[in-house]
Parts: sequence; C-alpha cells; structure tokens
Amino acid sequence: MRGARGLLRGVWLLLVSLGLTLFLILTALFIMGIWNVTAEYPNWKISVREMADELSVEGDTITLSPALAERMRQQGNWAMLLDDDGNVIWSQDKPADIPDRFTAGQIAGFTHWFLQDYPINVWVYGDGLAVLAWPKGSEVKYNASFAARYFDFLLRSVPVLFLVICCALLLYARRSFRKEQARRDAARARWIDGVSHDIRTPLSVIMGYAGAWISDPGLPGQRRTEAVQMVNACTSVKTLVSDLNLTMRLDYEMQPHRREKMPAAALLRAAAAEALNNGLLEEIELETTPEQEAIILNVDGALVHRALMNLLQNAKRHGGQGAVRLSLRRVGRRCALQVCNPCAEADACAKRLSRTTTAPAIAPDGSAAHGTGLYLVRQVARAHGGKLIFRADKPDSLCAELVLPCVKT
Amino acid sequence: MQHNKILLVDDEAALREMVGGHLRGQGYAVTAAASCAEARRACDAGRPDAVILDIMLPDGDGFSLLGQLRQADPALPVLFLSARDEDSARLHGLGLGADDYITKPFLLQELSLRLAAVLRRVYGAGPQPPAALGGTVVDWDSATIRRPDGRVESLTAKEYALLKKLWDNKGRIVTTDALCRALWDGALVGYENTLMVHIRRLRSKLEVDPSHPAVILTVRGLGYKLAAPGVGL
Repeated sequence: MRGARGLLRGVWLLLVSLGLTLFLILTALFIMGIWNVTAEYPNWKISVREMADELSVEGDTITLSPALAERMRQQGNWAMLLDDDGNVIWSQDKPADIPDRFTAGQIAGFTHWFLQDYPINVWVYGDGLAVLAWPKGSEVKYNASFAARYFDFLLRSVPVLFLVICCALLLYARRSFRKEQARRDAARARWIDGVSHDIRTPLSVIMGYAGAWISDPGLPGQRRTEAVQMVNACTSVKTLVSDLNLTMRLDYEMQPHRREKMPAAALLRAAAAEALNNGLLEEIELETTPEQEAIILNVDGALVHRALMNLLQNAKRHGGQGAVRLSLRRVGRRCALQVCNPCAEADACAKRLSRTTTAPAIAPDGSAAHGTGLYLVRQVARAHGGKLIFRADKPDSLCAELVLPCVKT
Repeated sequence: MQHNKILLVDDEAALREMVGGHLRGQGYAVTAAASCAEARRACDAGRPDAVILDIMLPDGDGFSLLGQLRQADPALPVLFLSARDEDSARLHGLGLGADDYITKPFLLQELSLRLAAVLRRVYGAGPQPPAALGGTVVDWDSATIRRPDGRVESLTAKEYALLKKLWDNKGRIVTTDALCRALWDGALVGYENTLMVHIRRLRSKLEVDPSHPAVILTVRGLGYKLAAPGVGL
C-alpha cells in the first residue's frame, strides 16, 4: 500500500514538473513567435503596414504594387484606403456589401475588430487610414490588455519561474536517486544478512560435532588434531562473516554506537587476554605506565575490541617469529593503541598496508577478498573520528596504530 | 538432575539432532520443535524447565514466541540460539527478558555450560561441589578453604568473589579490569593496589607457598589466572 502511494506521488510530481516545463517552453515559443516571425519571415503573412508601404499616390491615382496585390489575392485579402472624412478613395477586391463611406463610429468599431465579420487591420496613411481585411473566419481576436506593471511583473517572473522549476526538477531527481540508492543498499544488506544466516547454521553443525570430538577422551591424537583444525577453521569463517556484516553496517551507518568512557589500557588488556585464552597468540608483551593507565577514551568498547582483535589476527598472520607487543602512546589530544609485531621488511610493509585504505575487492579469479579485517579496523577508527596508521618503529618491527581521540583528564 | 526438561526450537533438522543428542548425553530430556506452532503445542503438553529458541522460524519469529510463552509462564527460562549476531538483535532479545543469547556457530560445551548456568540462576544453585585446588579444597557453601594440613580458613566476601570469578574462568586469563568489575563494579582506576592486597591475602590462605604461587598465577601486564588441572601458563 505504501509502495503504491509512493509510486502515485512520484508519478504526480513527474507530471506536474513535465507540465510546468511544457508550459514554459510554449510561452517562450509564443513570445519568440510574436517577436521574430514577422521579422524573420516577411512573406509569411501580409501586414497592413507592408501594404501601406506598397501603395503609391500619383495625383489622384493610387496604385498597389502588382506583386503584393497578387499575394493578397492568393491569401484572400481585400483592402481599402479611407480619407480623413471616411470616404473610400481606393480599394482592391472590396466586397460589394462593404459601403463606400464610413462614419467615425463605424471606423472606431472595426479598427481593432471586425467589419461585417471580416477581420480587420488598420494603419494610418497620411491623413487617411489604410484598411486590410482577411477572409471571414480566418482570424480570432481577443482583447488582452494588461496593466503595464502587471505585464512587467509577468515578464520578469518568467526567469524566476524557470529557475524554480529547474530547482524542483533537480530536487526531484536527487530524491529519486537517493531513494533508489537506499533501495539498493537495503537489498544488499538483506542479501548479506541472509547469506550470513545461511552460512552460520551449517557452520554450527560442523563446529558442534568437531567440538564434541575434541571432548571425547577416546579420540586418537591425529583425529583430535583434525577436529581442532576444523573448529579453528569454523571460528575463522565465523569471524569473517561477522566482519563482513559489521563492515556493511558501518558502511551504511546502520551500526549504533554505544560510547562510554573507558581506560585505553583496559581495552588493550582485554584484547590481549582473549588472544591468549583462545590460542590466537602464544606470547604478548604489554607494559603500561601510570600515565598511560590514566588515558581515558570515549568509545564503543565492543567495536574497539573487535578492531584490536583484528589487528592481533593480522599480526599473527603476517608477523614474523617473536612476541607481539601491545602499548599505548599519547599523541597530543589523541591516543594511539599500538600492536607491533616482528616483520623482516617493516618499512616496506608499512607503506604497502598504508595504501590499502579502500574496501577489499574480490580477486580477479573470484576468490575471497583479503584485507576485510584491516578495512574493518579503519572503519571503526573513522566511526570514532580516528585513523589507522602503519609505521616501522624499528627496521624489523611493524606497528599498527589505532589512533583515537582521548578524553581530557 | 532435578530440572532437566528442555524444549529445543529450531527449524534446522541437523542442528536439532546435534544439540538434542548432546543435551540428552548430558542428562537432559529434550523435546524438539521445528516451528512456533510445534513449540506452543509442546509447552501445552508439559512445561519445560527451559527453552532454547531460534529467532528465525518458518511461521514466526523467536521474539514473538518468547512473548507468548512468557505470557503463559512468566518464569520460564529462555535462551536464544540465533544466527543473528548484530548487537541490536542480541540486545532486543535480552531486553525482552531472555536469560541468555548465544550466536551461531557455537561449541556444544559452551551451550551446555550456559544452559546449566541459567538453570542454576533460575532454580537455585543447590549445594555446589567443592573445588580442589592443588592440595587445598574450597567449600563454596561455607566460604571456607581446607588446607592440606587440615587447617580451615574463612574467606571474606571480596576474597570469595575474587576466587569465584577466577574459578569460573579457570585456566583462562582474567584481566585486572574484569576482576575489579567483579569486585567493585568499576574499572581498574584506583583499585589496582587494593586488588593486589586481596590477591595476596587469598594466596596466603590458598597457596602452600604464597611467595611462589602455584594456584593463582600472575600474568604480567594483564591479570591473573587460576591454574587448572592439565592447563599451564
């Protein structure tokens, strides 16, 4: 029902816009026609002025140029010339029922209108009046007189009206575009939600049975190792699906932020403890000073925890042998949560990772995209007004820094 | 087990079979339902002690079904088991009064532990089995520690809460921040030294040699860990 109403409203808006545009175009064409047609196409219609110009008087003889006379006949015109007293002193093709003398009242009557249903145009000619008549029923006359100020206003308002309609059309186009974009975003979000739901349920079955095998004391060692690997693989897929979902929600600003003040060091400790408890890393170094313990962030703790876990995952996947170091660094009014890992070519790695700021794309061969985890960290940083940077703190040590604004203490 | 009737509602047959089989192996009597209608019929036939409930069901959603079940039985414990992991769904479920919210995929052991925790919370813990830590035995009901030499030490409220938190996470690192939250409902700031004092006192009651702790282990820079049998640092 809402969809149909929206569609009707859209169609109505479109029709109104089209109608107004058409009206403007017709008005412009009409004005152009009045101003230009007679000037550009003199042969299009004979004017009474043109006829008057083609009259020549020699003594008592009045003649019209033969060419114009011929054109007038072709168009069904007739004409006459009145003297100052209203007498017809010359005529061409004047119908028999038209008198040869006119009173001032009769002249006033037909000057702008009709003479016995013949449409009439007049032009002052010396002391007399040149009259050009058109066939009956060939013209419609309408008395359109405006107050000068009103007419000026109309003329001036045309460009304003044009601008208003252009703006309305632009707004309508923009609204339509945004609605279409929102529809596409919602469809994509539903698709990702649906796919992740469909993945999670079968993954539960695999993970559940593999987990049960691990708990079975009678399971041979090799089978136990395989079951552990299955659980780890399921956990990786679970994390990937969660990252994809969260990335999508952050991209479309669908993720509500629940910010609260919390110590930065506590966030580092929680991430380190989870990484060690879950077996993600075997060794983590974390030391904080009392000054660093006092650093407070106003953040969504769950999002920052997720970002730190992704950085630890990245350190595990791409780092060399040795402990991962977690530390804090105050940078002016900001605080950098650092995750450093051994790296053979730290400088080159830092430069390469710093360039990957956009969403990961599917590889040309169709395989899954890499870098979703780091993209998510950048999104979390951006959502808090911060950033993610990579730098080599030593030639063989790569540091990822999640830089976030800290609360004044 | 006194409270062991579980209603499992999920539209995936493979998942019902897996979870049902695991819970039956743990001593629960499991009734499975594939839809809201089947779940309502099962509840009408006999009150379950707890319901494990999926959110997306073929003839409705778990949130609505929770409301209907709670209308008939406000005290009925319900755990959501859902593929929806977004905060909004989890908070909505818990906000409606669900006792827990577990996201798929999950480990069966985690599910049964959390189910047991809910049942304990709702129906009462009953006598808790004592915990053996090295040569000492912790009696949770009397909040005492019996040392290898037969001497009995009493635990203060803070020591009890501290030891319980570590025991619930035995073999895992518990950060100083999490311990402070458990003891004072606050973050670490200002409590670190007090926490260390409580840890030292607890060690003096628990450890054979408190200067070389073997039960409550310090994890440098992070927190503490209760050594579990077969789990090292």
